[in-house]
Amino acid sequence: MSSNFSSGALSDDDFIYAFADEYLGEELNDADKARFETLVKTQENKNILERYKKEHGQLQIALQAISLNPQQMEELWNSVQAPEARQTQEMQNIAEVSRLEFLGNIKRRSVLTLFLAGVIFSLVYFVTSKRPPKFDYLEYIRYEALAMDRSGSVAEFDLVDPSPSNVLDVYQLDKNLDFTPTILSLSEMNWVITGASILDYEVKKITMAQYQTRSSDEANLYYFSTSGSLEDLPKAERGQQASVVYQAYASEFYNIIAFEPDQGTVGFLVGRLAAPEMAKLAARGLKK
Amino acid sequence: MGRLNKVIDDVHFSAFTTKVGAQADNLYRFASAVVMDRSAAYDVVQGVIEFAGKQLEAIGMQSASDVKNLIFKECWQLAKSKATGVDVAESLGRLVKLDAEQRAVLILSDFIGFRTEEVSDILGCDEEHIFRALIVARKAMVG
Repeated sequence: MSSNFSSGALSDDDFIYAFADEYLGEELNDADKARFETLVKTQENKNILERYKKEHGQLQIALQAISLNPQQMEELWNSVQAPEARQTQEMQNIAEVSRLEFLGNIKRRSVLTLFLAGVIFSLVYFVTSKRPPKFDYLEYIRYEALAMDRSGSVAEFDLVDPSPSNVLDVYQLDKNLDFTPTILSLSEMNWVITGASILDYEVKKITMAQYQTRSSDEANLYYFSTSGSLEDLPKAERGQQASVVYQAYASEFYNIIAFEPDQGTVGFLVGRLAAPEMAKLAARGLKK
Repeated sequence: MGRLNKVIDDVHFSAFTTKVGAQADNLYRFASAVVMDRSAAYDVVQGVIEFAGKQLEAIGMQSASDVKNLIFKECWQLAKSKATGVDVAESLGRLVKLDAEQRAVLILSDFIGFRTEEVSDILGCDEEHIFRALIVARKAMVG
């Protein structure tokens, strides 16, 4: 935002707020970065960065909750399409129906026969096949994150060494995983693993890791990975951070970004940070 | 000839829904933050869509980025005149201490991702002014 302006002319207080985003995105030059770090270490500004991240995240969640419903969208588009275009379209639809009528009974009967065959096949398939129930990823992820936040920690694995590579090794010991488990290595960004587990739902296994930041005990981040792809999730706005293409979701408590850390694997980073900020963490910390 | 017209109209309408539709929620969020009233914000978005609809052909030929700037500019023009009553019960109530322009700068810069020069163009202010407004807005956000 502010790269065109002289940072030297700003008061210390203004400097922090002017460059907080650039600092968090690691986009500051060395001189400005040094000044920033000196300033946020002073007693006066001790928690300023944490508060900035928290408030930014909460506002992001509040904004994401504001969206147009399908009825409003339809109403908006209806106000735009010219009446003559709608009329032309309707006339064309009528002409298309007439043309189909003209093709005669044989064709219609053929289509009808095929349709009936399709219906019968579908019914037989529906009755006889055992299809897995649809898995609502986001609901389970939100539930698990909330449960862990409330219980305090995750201690499924006895992690003497809670390093990402060690956690990944433990995941890989489970031969029943039908996807390539992944982990985020976030220690350079001050997030360390404080718990890890494999959640065993009837239809899916999900690896999860809990992170806490060294600079605050307020916030947790959770990383989940399981089999699937972005196509399995509800449609959402897409963003990209380095090689990570993600879809962002928000709920009352969390922001969630979903991405594909590996082919056939979908990863979810859950927390109270803003979605682009979590995408930066994901892009920098991804480990397979 | 009628069919050709329809095809052209459909092409333009498709480009329109893609470029403008992609920003509909962001327009609504921006308008809500400026106006601080959902119902009035929806009216603003409706005004923007109608404005864009009158330029269907032109919008079909412009880049998505140019269309984005154009519609946010119009959104600001419509929203700022309605930014009088402030509903503190809104989820965006934390922005109540800011004026409409500061709220607009914050949302456009930090949450919709416009660059300084684009925000400057949308709001019709110089970049230095935008930069200063952003500092004030971020301070208010943190409290």
